[in-house]
Amino acid sequence: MGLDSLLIPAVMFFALGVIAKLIKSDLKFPEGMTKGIGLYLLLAIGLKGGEALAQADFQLAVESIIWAAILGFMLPVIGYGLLRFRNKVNAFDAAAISAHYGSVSAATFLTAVAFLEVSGVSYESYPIVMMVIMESPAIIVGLLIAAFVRKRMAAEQGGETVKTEWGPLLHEAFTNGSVVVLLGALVIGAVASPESMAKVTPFTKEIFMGVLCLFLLDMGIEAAKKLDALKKAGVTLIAFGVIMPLIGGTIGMVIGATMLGFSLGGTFLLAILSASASYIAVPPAMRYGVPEANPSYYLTLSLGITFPFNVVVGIPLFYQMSIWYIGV
Amino acid sequence: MKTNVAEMTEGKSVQIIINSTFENSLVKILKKLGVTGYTQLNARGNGNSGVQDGHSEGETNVLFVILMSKEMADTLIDSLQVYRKKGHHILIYTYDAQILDPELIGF
Repeated sequence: MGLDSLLIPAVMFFALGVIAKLIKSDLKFPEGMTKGIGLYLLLAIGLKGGEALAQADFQLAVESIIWAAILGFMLPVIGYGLLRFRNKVNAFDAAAISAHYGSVSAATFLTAVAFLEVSGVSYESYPIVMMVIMESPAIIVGLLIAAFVRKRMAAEQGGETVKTEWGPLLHEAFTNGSVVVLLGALVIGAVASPESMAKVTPFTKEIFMGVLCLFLLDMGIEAAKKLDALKKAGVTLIAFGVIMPLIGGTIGMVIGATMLGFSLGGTFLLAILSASASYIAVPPAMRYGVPEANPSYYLTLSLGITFPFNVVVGIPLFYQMSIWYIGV
Repeated sequence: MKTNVAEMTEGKSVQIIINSTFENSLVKILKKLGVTGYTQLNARGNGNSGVQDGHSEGETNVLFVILMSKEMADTLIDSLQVYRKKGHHILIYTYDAQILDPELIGF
């Protein structure tokens, strides 16, 4: 154990991406390619989850969904409290950042899945459904906090209240591309006949880990690009990028094992989901919904700090913690 | 056949750089004002909201180029004021423009 988790090809490709950027290589993905690969990964994991879900226990699935929603609403509130605790981060930045930490990162989750498959540990399909559910609530919490801050500031300064337009924001939170593809693929995977699913298997399963390598290579390049901006972020924010995933992951682990009775694999996956921070669905939502916040902070944190931290430290750490907690 | 410069109408070329997440709102505002056409380009760049390299949805800029009458340009800039106050990064600048076939763009 330990180093094993780093010797997964996908993780090594992430490192390669970082190195490429550090040595100023001209390695670059064509425009739009990352979005395309991202869609493929969501589709494939959705189909896989749907297939497994068709045989799953209905009651446990419903309980998982409820807990996913609770986590999605709870984590950003904890994050906001943590960020505002010492009053070093402005309220709008804190609202936008904490929304990222309540939502999830599919790439982190998939790297954790790759880790389990290499380790030969089985896992339940419920965390995949939970990933879908956890995309949106944090966006709403972030927007609510920002609206509250706006109101309070207007009251303090005696100025006119800037109204929050909820319609387009809620629409965005629930209909963003990731949610639609994941949810759609889950349903298709659950409804499709096993024979017809077997026909898509080469596309969704056999090349999956290879495509994940490609995706993580690009993530490495992007994460390294954020390193410059780290200097501006300051110690409080950087510390948050490491502490928040530890808190979130621990809460997720306890819920997975104690409340939902997941096996080691499922508990570990829920811990990683709760530890991860979004960098695809949430940034545009915050950009539009909380324009007062500085956009370079939240992407730097989720992509430049928390994602690499989870891949390198979080995955082996939460795996060991889950073993210890469940007592396997 | 040479175009007679005298046939051209005075107007404004309004150029607006916004984040792509604001694109739909801007289009709605333009429609409301009765602007019938515009040109838009995906734009990459750097500035005080960080590098906009088109990598993800929130990190892409859009450049709008809109030809209109001077009065319309003033109205448009006024109506964007409320969004600028909210904190949206909206960069606006205008050029004087000589426009051929102004009826094509509705004025």
